[in-house]
Amino acid sequence: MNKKSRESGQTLLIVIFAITLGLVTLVSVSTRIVNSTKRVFIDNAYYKAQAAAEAGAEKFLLKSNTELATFLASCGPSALYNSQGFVNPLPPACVTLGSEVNFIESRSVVAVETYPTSGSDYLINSPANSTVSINLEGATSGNNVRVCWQGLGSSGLAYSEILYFYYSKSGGNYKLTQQKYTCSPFVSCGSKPASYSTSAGVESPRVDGQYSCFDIEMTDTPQLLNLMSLVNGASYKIIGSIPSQGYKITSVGEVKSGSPSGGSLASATATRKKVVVEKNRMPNLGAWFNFAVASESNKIVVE
Amino acid sequence: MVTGSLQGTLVFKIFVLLSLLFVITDRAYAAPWFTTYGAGVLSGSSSTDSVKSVQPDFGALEVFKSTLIQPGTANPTLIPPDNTYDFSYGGILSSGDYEVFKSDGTTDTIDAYAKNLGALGSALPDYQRFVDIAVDVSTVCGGSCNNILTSCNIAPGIYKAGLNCINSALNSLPSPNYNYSINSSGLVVLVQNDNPANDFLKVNNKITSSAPDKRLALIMRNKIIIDSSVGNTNVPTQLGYLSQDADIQAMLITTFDGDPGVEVDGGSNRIKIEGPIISKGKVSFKRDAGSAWPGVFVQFNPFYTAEFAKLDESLNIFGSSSARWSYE
Repeated sequence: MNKKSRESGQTLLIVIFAITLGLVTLVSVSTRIVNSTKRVFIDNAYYKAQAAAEAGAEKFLLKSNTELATFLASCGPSALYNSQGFVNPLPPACVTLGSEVNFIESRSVVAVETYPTSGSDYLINSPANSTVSINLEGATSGNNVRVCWQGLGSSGLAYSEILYFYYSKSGGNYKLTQQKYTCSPFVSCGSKPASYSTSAGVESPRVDGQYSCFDIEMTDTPQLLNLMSLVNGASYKIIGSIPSQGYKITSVGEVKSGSPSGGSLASATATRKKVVVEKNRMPNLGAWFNFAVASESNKIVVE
Repeated sequence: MVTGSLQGTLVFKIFVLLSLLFVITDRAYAAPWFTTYGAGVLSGSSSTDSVKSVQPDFGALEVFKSTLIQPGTANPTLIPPDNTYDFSYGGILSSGDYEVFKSDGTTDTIDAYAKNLGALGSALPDYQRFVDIAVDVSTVCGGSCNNILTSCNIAPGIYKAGLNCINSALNSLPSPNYNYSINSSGLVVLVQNDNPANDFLKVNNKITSSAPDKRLALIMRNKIIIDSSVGNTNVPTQLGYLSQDADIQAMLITTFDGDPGVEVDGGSNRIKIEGPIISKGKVSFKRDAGSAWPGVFVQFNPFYTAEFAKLDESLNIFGSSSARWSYE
């Protein structure tokens, strides 16, 4: 009897242990399912918000520069966004211009401003043997624009040479001034350049951190500056007051409050996503336009 | 008999003298040549003769001393401390070398001033994209091709037309100046919107503008040929040639990939063309104006580049190609 009673107690203990283990497992699995479901909701809202933001940005990328310019006056980011999200109500002028892009469960609000911000450097990269264009229309004649560059190869800093093509206008006639800058053969252009040339051709050391620099005097009425990097690519830092180079399009998307996919999560921070696109106003015409005669892939010959 | 013998000797001496002169002239004159002014030359060919011209290094010539070097510059300035070439004259950039024929009859192959240029960073843009937004010129000019560049007096902008229509428009420019008419300052871009096989744009006469602030750009899909009759021999001095109006005051672009894409036919007329001339295929200059003059003289006019950029800025043909995305 005693032996049977002891065995029954052991069985009970085992059963209780098994039930406890089962309950713990069940709770754990349930928690996981709940968290996973919650995350699915968040992820769903996240992607819907991001998709809405991207759609808003793409809609504005298709607009002409002239159309984008009309947004600048009243529909910059400060007019449309605050720390809580969107300004409520949105400025009617911006709504009329199409700042709000609506979808069934989500929406985006798009703001437009110019870049670079006044007083800040303008950074731009270029692949090898390619040209980038800097708008100078509206820049102050007589001022200098400083061009600093770093050669960039496939494995980091590398040697490169820079051609600049400065276009200006005097009366009704356009002028082209061009020059080539290269690094000293005694110093690696990638790591510690280089040389600085004045307009008189007198050189003195001039660097800005890891960048080589030269100045271009903006003679006559400035129009356009094309920079071409040879041998390797280049990272440019344009220093000095230069006019707008393009439009910064900021698009914030969110899941609408009460939408099935957003549920109670709608309007939470997790469901609001921001996309920023910079659209260069200058065309990428290619290097060809800076030469008297150019052939893409063939010879230029007398015969 | 005596008289006959003297005559025979005289004829022989004249023959020898002419032969000698011919040899001297032949040595001094190597081959036809071309030059540019205001900008350089860019070739994406990796051949050893990607850019080929003559270098008539004659001391007596004060203006066009050597190929592709600006007037008055016998040698390109070397910039210290590394003595690289001054690029202010334009220079030559190519994926390969360029071949120079010297006045002594020898040939030299030289690295381009920008060495190791390698492959060009980008392909020629598809300028045919302009067709999508171009205005059909027949709707503006009442269906006639002959008056497009004359009495229609079109406004600056982008227009499209077929090859035959553009040929007709150019052939209808009124002699003797062959002026085209644009109603206000700016650039008229005429884009070819068809692509007939084995056909070409033939420039049979000069193409000139009525004002320095009005210009024409032709964007073709077929070959461009400039006839041997275009140009002249009536150029007083070499310096005068610099300030003289170009025979072709139009920017020529072709996306034709053949050999050649642009051809200036032979003959001895000196021809002056405004650049840029942009070709996807080969550029062939066959004009031979002797050793003292470039057969083809391409003078870069910055008007085209600056106005093209402005035109595109408002139309978004190429500008939209560079957008940077960031996520926050």
